[in-house]
Amino acid sequence: METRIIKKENLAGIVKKLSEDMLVYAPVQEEDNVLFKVLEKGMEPLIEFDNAKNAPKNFFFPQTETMMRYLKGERGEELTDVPEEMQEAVLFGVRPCDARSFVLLDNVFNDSKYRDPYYAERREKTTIVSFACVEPPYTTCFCTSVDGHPFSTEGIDISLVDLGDEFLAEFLTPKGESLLVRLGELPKADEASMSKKEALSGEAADKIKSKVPGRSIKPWLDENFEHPFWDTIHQSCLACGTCTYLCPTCHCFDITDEIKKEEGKRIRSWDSCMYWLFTMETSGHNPRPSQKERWRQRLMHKFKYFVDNFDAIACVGCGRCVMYCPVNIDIRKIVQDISKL
Amino acid sequence: MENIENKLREEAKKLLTEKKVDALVGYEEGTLPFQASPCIITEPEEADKLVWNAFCSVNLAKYVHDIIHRHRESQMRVKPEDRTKKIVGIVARGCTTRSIAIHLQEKQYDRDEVVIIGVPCTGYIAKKKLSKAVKGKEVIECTIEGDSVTAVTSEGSIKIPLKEVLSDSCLSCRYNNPVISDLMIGDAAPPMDPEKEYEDVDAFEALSEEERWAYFTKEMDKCIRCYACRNTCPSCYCKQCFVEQNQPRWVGVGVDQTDTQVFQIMRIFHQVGRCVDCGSCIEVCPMGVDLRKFLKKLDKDGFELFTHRAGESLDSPPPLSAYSLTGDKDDFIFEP
Amino acid sequence: MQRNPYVPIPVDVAKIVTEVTTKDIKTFRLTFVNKEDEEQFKYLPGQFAELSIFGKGESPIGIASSPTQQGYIEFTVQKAGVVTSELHSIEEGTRMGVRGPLGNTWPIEYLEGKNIVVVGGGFAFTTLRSLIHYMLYEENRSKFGNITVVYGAREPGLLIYKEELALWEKRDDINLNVTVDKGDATWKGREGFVPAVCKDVAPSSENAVAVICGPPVMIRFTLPEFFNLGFSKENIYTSLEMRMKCGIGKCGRCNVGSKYVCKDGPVFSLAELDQLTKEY
Repeated sequence: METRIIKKENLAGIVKKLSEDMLVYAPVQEEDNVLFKVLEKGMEPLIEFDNAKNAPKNFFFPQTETMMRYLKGERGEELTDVPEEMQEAVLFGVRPCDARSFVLLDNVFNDSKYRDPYYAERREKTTIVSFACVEPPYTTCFCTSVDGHPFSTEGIDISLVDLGDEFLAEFLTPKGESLLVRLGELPKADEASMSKKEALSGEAADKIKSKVPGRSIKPWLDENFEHPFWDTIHQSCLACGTCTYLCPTCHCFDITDEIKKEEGKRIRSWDSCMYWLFTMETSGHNPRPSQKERWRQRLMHKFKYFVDNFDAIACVGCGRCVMYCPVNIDIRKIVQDISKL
Repeated sequence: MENIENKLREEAKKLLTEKKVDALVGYEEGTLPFQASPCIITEPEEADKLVWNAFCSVNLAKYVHDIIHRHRESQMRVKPEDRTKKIVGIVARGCTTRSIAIHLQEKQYDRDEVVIIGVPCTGYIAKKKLSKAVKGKEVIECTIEGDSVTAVTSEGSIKIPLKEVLSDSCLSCRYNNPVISDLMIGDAAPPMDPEKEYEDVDAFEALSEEERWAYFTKEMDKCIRCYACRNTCPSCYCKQCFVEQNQPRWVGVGVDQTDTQVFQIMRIFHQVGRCVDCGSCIEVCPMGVDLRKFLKKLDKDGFELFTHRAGESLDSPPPLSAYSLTGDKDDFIFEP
Repeated sequence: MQRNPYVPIPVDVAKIVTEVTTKDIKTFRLTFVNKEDEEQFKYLPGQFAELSIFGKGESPIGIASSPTQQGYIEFTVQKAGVVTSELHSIEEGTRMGVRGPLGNTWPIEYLEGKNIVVVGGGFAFTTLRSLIHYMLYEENRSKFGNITVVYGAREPGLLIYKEELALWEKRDDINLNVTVDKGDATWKGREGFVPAVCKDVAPSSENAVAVICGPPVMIRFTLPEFFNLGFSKENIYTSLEMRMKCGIGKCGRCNVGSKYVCKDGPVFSLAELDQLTKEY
């Protein structure tokens, strides 16, 4: 593994330069929000920030994307093209929790039988650069409870560790290493930097105070699809999509058609299990008739179904749904409450 | 405040014990240091978890509507003679009572289906303003003492004047005391600054058309179509919102710029004479879209054209649903 | 390189048959525009496909034809939502799309060597028709034992595949029992609800498997009859319906517990359904 040292004051400039030749998606300040966005010419990414409000999954799986286009033909609408704009890209400034979300999403979008070409090609052509969480940014962070770690390298090609005045850059994968030549001359990291990183890593994990029994509720979930507990969580739920839309692992979507004049598009847009329409059938039958069933689905999907199918919890502990739920329905509390049943 | 809270718990307990209400909507302490969350209680002993403080933000009238309507739906399967009413109690500040008034005017439920526990209000803390005051850092602890708020972040503790972090809706609120109630708790709250109500709108109106459109576009570009604004709004109670209809489909489901704008414009226009400026839609928006400016503009127009203020009393129905043949000054209905 | 699973295969509507007197159920015969697509479209009875009409969307529909019928695929569609309504308004010769085949199949290998009881109600007879065609196919018939069919509809005008029913009626290698809830002046066949007819026909559970599709109420009353006849849950199969979009286990809406109806289903044995949650 190659390791380098990057001076703190140089990092933003290096990324800005990178964005002149390739697509860079990075956190930027937009009024009051820190958001992942495409770096436009001349823009620098944020280096000091907590985490972005929107999850970086947006880059591989945008909220709205065109899957194919069609035109009116002689005998009906006929396919004209399938977008293939995938170019080499860098996804910069990802937190380790969010990087793990890609590994989880790969299970869904890149399975052997049906590969989702839109997601998979972007994913293959993108190098992921992360900031290890030397200081976990929020008290609501709970990555260590869901198989993660503030220094996790899962899903990461280049990991940056803040050592104070400089960053230790670890080039973890061949994809990461191939970006090295484009970063300019950088000094190699010495032993001291590496051992400093090790020490920081241990300290960082201790700083995560929010603990949730993420794995241990599975046996209860296996047995209790019907249980009075499910009546208790959804009462104040607004049935909005905030939790699912900000979640780095939620991946449900809708496919719809739109025609403007002669030109038509089939588009994919995010959808949410919190919406009543999500499972509504044409007949009027809805297998999840109330918010109770929808909440049960959300929780079961993350802590049981996904575990059944892929042996992983579909939650990375980023805390977005906890911080931004308009009515403070806290998934940490729900999991804790279940563990006490 | 503490007195109000104790009295509130007492009254809530009494209503539940005496079965004068079947359920009661209030606020309870949240899991985050600056949040009180809506709660629905049905047992007298649960009354002790009710809170009343400046963290109680979202308008609860929406829950009353939903609980009653869900109950009515479930009654459809019961023989007409066996049908029951569900009486819902609610902890209501001024804006909440105005929303209830609108529900009643619009015949969403009957007056005897809701028991209003009126509380005086001195404003709630807007999460986004608090966050801004601490430069976007996470608030780890937050306490209110008199006219100031102390917020602790990873960078230390800051004292902020309460007024700086109160919701804009509260600062210029005209009805911070309930307009209708069944019982009142505490003394009437001192008035806020209603003469400043349209300051923002006046400034916005003074801009050029291009500037106004640019502002609207910029704000709407933030929207992620999560529908939190619509879903928390007591006046947005359509069973199926037009954005969810697909035969025909009025608007695309994604975040194409025009689709987002159409959704928001249509929602805002549906609020003419029906928006009580509770600020909930702004409070719940995860992206910080400034919806208030546009809602307030229509509110101002509504007042200037019809001298109407949304939900100020049970006798003043929304102007757009109360056309009078002789009283209305415009004859647009007869001259299309 | 794997084909993009979201891009529909172009097909032409070769033939449209209106199945019922209410005119809201039609069978569409589709032929492939490209020969290689036809070769790649390998399916078995029980599977479904997404019928695609650009500009309107897609709708998941069970394949009503059998792979033993070559040169085309068929779908029987009831007019209900946006896509199916559009389908009902198109004419022969229209070009449209198909994505599939999707989902699992009736357990063909397991069915081989056994007596088969097929029970269908109303319009949910489509993939059962595919199965019957498959079993009756000359080269396949000897692989299966007795074939008993109970098929019912509310009234004679609502029976689908009438011509085929008449042909099967004449054969001696299939025991066909067609019934209607209420007959009319011209109806000479059986009258009665499907569960009652099943009880009456009383197929033996000896080395037998039942395959049942129909409206929920029919299934609810039919199952006890089969349990009485000695059928175990392992030997009763049915097919689930859910709202679907992608059809390939990604869009997240058709799960029943950990299983996706589009990918792991739609065919399940009752024993398998017992392991799942009752959310369908």
